[in-house]
Amino acid sequence: MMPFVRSLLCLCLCVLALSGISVRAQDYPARPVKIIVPFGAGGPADLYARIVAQHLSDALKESFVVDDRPGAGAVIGTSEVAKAAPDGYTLLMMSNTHTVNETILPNKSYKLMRDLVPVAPVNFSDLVMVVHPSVPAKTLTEFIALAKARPGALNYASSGTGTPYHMAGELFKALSGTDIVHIPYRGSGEARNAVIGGHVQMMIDAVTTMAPNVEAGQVRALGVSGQSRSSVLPDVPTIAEAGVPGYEATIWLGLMAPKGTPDAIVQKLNVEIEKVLKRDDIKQDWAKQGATPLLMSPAEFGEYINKDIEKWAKLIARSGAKLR
Amino acid sequence: MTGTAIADLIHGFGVALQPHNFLACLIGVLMGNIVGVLPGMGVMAAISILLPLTFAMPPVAAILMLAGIYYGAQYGGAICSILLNLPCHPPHAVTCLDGYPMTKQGKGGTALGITMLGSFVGASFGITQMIFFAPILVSIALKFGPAEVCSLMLLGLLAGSTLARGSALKGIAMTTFGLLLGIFGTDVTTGLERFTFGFPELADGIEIVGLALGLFGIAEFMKSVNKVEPLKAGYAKVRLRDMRPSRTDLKMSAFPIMRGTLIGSLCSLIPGTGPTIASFVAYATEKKVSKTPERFGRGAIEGVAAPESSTHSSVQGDFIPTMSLGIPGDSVMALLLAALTIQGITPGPQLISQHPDIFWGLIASFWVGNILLVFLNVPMIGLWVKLLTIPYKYLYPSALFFVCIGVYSTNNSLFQVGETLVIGVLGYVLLVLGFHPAPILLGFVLGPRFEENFRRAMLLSRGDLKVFIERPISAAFLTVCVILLLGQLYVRWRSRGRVVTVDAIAVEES
Repeated sequence: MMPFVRSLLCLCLCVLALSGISVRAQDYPARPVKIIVPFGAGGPADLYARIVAQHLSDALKESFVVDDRPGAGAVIGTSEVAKAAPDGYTLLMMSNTHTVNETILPNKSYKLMRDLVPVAPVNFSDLVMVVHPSVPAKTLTEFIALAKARPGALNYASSGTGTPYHMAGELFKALSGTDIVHIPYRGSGEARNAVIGGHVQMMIDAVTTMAPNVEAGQVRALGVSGQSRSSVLPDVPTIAEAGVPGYEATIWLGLMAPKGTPDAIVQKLNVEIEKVLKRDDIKQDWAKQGATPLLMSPAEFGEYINKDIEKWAKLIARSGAKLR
Repeated sequence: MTGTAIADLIHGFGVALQPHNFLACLIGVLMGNIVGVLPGMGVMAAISILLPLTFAMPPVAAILMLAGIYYGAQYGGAICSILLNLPCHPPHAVTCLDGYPMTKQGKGGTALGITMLGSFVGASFGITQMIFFAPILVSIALKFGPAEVCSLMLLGLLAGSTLARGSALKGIAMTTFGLLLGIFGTDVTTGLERFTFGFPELADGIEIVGLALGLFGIAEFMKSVNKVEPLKAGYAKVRLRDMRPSRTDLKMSAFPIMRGTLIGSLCSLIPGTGPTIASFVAYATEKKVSKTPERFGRGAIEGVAAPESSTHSSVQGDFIPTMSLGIPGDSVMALLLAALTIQGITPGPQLISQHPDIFWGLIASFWVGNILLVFLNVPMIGLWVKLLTIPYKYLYPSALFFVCIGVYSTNNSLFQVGETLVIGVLGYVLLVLGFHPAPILLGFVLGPRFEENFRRAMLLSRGDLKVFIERPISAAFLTVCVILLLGQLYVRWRSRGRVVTVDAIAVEES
């Protein structure tokens, strides 16, 4: 037993020694960096993490490895990063699922802004509000009028309780003063099926996945959710311009690191990620996929996250009982 | 319409047979097949590992390869279920019920042969319906709202509760236990966690791969680890001529294959009903229509033929909603859609007109891939059966090793490996007490679908239960449920004495 314990101690010391050396920013990264994605493989977070990881590996001459740790609405993978050594070798791909979780999951083992530090945002993707063609409303104002005339009679589908899609719907209800019943589904595929089949009247979904169904006339697009129109559906007005001023709900992604990660490393990563996001090929590819690069310094990104946490907390407090 | 479809298909073959596309398809089915054979290594794992590779490939080749992995894995998955009682993918769990007893009787090769045949027939039918009936089928599928799916699941639960041999009471108890296990995790309607005992790892419920492998593979391993000798004798008897299904085998399997194929293709259309439910329903139907239901669970060839052809027909049919609506039938399909999106192509109603190369090339490649798989697998049957001549003390520990890797790879979570082991111990206890694990899996798969859709239907109807009888499709399913129940009660009442003796024998045997 003793030799085993001794060699284990040796190993621990070696690891400690290594991590001690590598904290210096100019040497970073000296070994592979792990980006933990707390969502399922093949989802947008996973795909964009892989694209960013690929470019970072090329630029910093050290491999950035994507590690999917899905489960429990991103809590499993996120707690792992929160507990990881703050040496810059473990990063987290996060999204606004995290900012919503801050309010709806108060008992999780970490707190986003207490246990993690912002590194850099990656991108945001627009959503689109669609209705089944049998709904008489042709525009957003007509739809709001319809919902107000029949409070509690219309339904909207989402990919699940507490998801950004659900939040986007609740935000719409709150800002437009309408009462529409939330019907949660397991994943956005099932929800889309319900709207195309006419079982549910409305849903808010990713603009890229919905665009073909809009073009085929299976659903009618009433508005996109960003501050400006989407390159994927340029003829569709934003919800804000079509009748709900101040409305904005997108899906955004960003990178965070464990609290205590040296500032120099955070800054270095931020600069490198910005270089990736400014590439022309990235801009063009992502535009086709309905995603727009987001550029911010770590401090600005921190502010952005805080504001988002606050935005959803307020909304959930307002419609609280209905969420849970 | 038929004429243009055939012309388009010929164009599709032109695309699929281009050397680089053919190569992509070959690599896909080969990889899928190999990964599928490993116990617990899911097709999800295979696709997500290979997904980044396809970024650099042209779109047609990329999608052909990924699709190849998907259906290739289904071919491989049956092998471990039949030979080792290890259901590598949940749909194959039912195949274990009769496949493994056949192996123990030295007919493992026959079972594999029938599986390959049934798979090919099922897949071919699935492809054909995709070519000719996709638009009609999609419009039927869209009629399935929460009320319809809920009634269908109820029918499935009723029909399936007779899945296992032995005492009906024990079967119902196990179905209920499965329903209970299905409750674990986050409730879809309210977002509240149920039975997670403070483990975030349980928030998404019990992992179905872990449940299937634990209940079947690990439990069986623990049961037989003490009595290695009699089993070994059975394995060694496999000879070359036993590997080919005899004429009687073929005759007995012909109708089950057809029925399984039809059930699979219907299941693939209904949203949220993947190959797992298809194979369960096919097995239950087969047992219901059989003149000798008591043979099931003891190595009935129909019990292998029907669920396997159903799985494959459903696997191919799953591409219909995915390709024509852009709506994925399951998580693997969602991955395929993501792969297309990365290539800048969004699947949806216009895919066929905007990217005929992809659509028709994919369909043609299904046939190319399935023929390749038959050629790959039939000569390999002998080799797979030879696996069984490896001494038990080497074979099973290494199989368990792969089980652990496989379960780990589903979510990269060590917790799930532990979960599988706990379920395995539980499954062993149940097996010793004469409870069969199959109904647990049935309750586990159908229960959450039933509950979610029931509550959705209630939300939509604002709490009015009449919705289930007002909607014609739902009402039809409920009528069948009532007929089934009354029929069952009538048969019981007519032959009270006989049933008891059959049950007694069955319990003793298991």
